Amino acid sequence: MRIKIILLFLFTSLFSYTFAAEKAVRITVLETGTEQPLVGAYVEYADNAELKDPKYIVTNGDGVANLPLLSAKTHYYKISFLGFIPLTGSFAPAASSKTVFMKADVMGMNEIVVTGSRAAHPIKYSAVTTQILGGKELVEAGYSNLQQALQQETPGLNIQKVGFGNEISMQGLDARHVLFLMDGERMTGDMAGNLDYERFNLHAIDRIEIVKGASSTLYGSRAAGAVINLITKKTTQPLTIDAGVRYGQMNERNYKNPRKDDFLYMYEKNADHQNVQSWVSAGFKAGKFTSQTDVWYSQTDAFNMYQHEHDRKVYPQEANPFLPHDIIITDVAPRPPMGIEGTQHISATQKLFFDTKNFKLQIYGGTFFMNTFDLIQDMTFSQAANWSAGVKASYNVKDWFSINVSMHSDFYDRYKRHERIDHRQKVYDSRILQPRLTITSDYLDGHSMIFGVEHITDDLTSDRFVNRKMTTRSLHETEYFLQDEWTINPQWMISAGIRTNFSRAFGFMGMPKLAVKYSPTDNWSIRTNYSMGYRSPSIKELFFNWDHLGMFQIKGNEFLQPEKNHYFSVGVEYNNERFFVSTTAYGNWFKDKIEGVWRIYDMQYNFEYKNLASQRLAGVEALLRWHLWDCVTLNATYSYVDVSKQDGVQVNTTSPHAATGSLDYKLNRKNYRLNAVFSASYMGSKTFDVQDRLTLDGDNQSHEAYFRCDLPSYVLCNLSVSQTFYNKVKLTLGVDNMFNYVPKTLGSGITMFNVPATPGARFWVQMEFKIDNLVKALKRKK
Amino acid sequence: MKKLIPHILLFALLLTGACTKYDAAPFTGQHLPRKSGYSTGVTFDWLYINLRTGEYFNRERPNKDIREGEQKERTDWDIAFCGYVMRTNSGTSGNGLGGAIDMGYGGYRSLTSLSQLPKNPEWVVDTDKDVSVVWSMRDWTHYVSEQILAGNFAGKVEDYPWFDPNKGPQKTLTSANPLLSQSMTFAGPPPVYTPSFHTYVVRTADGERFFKIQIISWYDANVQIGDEGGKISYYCDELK
Repeated sequence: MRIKIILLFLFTSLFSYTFAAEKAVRITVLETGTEQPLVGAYVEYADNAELKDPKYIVTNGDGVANLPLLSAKTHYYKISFLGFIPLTGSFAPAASSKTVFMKADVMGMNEIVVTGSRAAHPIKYSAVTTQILGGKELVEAGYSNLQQALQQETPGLNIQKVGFGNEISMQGLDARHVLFLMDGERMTGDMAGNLDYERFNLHAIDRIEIVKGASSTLYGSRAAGAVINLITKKTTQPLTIDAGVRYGQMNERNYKNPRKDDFLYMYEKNADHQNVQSWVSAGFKAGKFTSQTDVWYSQTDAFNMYQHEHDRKVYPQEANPFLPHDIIITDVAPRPPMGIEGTQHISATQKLFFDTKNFKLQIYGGTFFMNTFDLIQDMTFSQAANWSAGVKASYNVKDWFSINVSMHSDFYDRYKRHERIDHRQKVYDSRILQPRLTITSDYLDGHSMIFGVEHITDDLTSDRFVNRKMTTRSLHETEYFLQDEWTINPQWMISAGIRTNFSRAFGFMGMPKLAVKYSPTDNWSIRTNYSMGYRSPSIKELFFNWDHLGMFQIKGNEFLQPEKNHYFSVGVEYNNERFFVSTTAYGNWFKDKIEGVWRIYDMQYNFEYKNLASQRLAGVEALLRWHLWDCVTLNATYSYVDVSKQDGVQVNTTSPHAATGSLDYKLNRKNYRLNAVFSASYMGSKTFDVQDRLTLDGDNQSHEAYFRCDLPSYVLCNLSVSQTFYNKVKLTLGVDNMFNYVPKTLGSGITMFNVPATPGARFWVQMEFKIDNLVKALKRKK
Repeated sequence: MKKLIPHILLFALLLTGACTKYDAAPFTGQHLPRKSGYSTGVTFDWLYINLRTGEYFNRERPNKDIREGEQKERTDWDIAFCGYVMRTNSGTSGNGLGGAIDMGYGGYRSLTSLSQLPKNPEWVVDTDKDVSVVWSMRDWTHYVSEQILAGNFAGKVEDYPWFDPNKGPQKTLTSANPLLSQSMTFAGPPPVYTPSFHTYVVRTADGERFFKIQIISWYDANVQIGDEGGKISYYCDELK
């Protein structure tokens, strides 16, 4: 009998071991509606409901994960996939397979954000208000580039064409106060704070995180107004290759059939490139190694914008107390057309990752080339070349303590290139080098702490510093920052931090911040934030010395001091499964703001940079997302900003009112998806004053004066309709500016241009392919 | 290795992209031998051309061969340039029988014979009330000083800059051909010179020969990058 018992015990043990080691449950993860497999979904499972000591597995190309059983008990799982609502459930050990369906996360409340705290948090647990734009959603909405996507989706953000290129404004601030980051790293090559926004490949973006208000504590100079952080894709799949092409109607045919013996043949040819884009995004994951490559090519044609009436300037007495009454001057010459450049650019990025449980390494590099074809017949066009590279490593010394080091570099050159001779000349060379060390710890219960030190070297070589000779000017800054995010209990969270900055030029500065979040229930959150921002003068503002053909001079000012600002905000947020609304009121007080002003001396107009008096900006912003039905979602944003005047003069060109809205319709059927997006962006009317000179009748001497510029409100609407077949091929048709809005005025005088650069309604078509899925399907057929 | 292939292809795509192909044919027209006008330091810096002989006057420096005012009595020149402003030997500029007519946009190649001209063309002659040239900085300063001394202007010389960001540089009226002076317009800053690409027919000073002319560019074909231009490129051929 004893022998029988022992044998029975051994048999049972052996059976149990075999059961546990070899039996697996097959889970198939599909998208609700289309029933298409979700490849690369992350399955976390354990044999306890709390998911303690979980195992992980990723779904394969068929959306299948084989989960080896851990014991004979009921197993619990949690499945996560980017852009979908996480799914939890359980299965009995006796089950052999299970199919689950995941729903798209329309409300976006499960998104992870990093920008507001430099650490990954679900958005609803972030102490700092963060707006997220999903890369996939932006492509689905039919946007052709980042500029268009940001303008249509972000309240109060506006990008317009000015003399030197694009100019961004946000919450009443210009590009100098809005910090663009790519994966948390800054870029160089800006013009008055504006980068070449064409550098950002919309198809390589996983999500865009927008944190408004001063974030200088974490990101230093230039983060005084907002941070826009573009987080790029990293595949979770064994192999993925996505490709696409887009063809758009031309903006304007400037020259018909240019002949090679035309003097301006190259100029004419370059002005009329077809509107075409193509892109490829490829990645693979093999064990601990991941690679992600993204390439984007795009070209657009140049076009003119026209103003039929002559320029008319109104000099109001309010802004010009010396005038006896308002004076109106109509220009005798017709307004010349405003040329909007055509571009031709290509960008490529390569990222390599090596990830283990405690050690992560990332090596990345990218390049960007752009030709800009203006409509100025000066025998040259502009060419930009950029290279960036870096390495990031993090090591978890303990499960509560990590060390992160990184080295980031960005090199940007600008050339003038001849339109008849194969020759180019460098006119601008900018490079930054930024090493960083951060230490993170969550040793103390509820505390997440980060301490960092970073150094930035900024070199700019230009022919506009000394006598048109290429000369280099540099800035070096070393900064330390410390932040603690304290989750006191499920209701209360506090984030506090400070940054210190030291540079030889500006000495020592300290910038604190404090953010508090209170969530009385799961649905409500109240956030309040104080932060101090600063912006060091740029190299251009400090050292520029450029005589513009004897006409005027742009002069830097080596005695400039950093501008500082205090930012306060209070926000309330409500969300449930179908409805999300967030309202934030803010005030932003600037001291020593740096502005350019015209002054006359040495028989010349001189544009000089100065630390001006204070400026106050206050406003309200609201975001709304309403999932009306399973197939319809409404998005809306509104922004109001009031900017203080200076001595009765409004120099700020922001419109007080701006809004965006979109209606998204989705229909999912087996192996088929229909998505229609109608989006609209509204910009309210603008009134601002422009510095000028005025000569009164009977007086030969000119006087400093301001003319008032009134620009009308406008709405730009887009429509895109896409169909996806078998999750392999997507066809999208769309129209930009569908109601054909064309500005009637080009702004105010020759120094300003403040209207949207649109040629009117233009149609486009786009095809996208999931190459890896297509190849797999073809192989199966064979 | 298979997984690396798409990455290699992507970089190959990058290398082949964004190329600029230089395939323009050589320019067969002419260009002025030097820049003329205010930037040479002389406001009335006219470069004269005798279309009948191909001879230039003031080719080396302003006013070397024909000083301002002397052109009126001479009939050995047919057209002149001061920047992009043009003269013919007619009206207030000269005692010749010159003048110009506009044959419209383009059409330079298709205009090959005198028989294509209108039967009774209205030759536009030079006037001194319609066209301005830019003051040179030196001449403007001198002019302002004189005006202040004469009591016409108040304040100091420094109060009268040569360039106004909203109105452009200071200008003064000159004797010129109002039709030909529309062959190019200026806007800026940044300075943008845009030809009208109209074809004009110019009658010579002796009234007996006719030349078609089309202004093509403010720059010559071999202009160096960064050069301010001014050696205007143009087509000019005699009509018979």
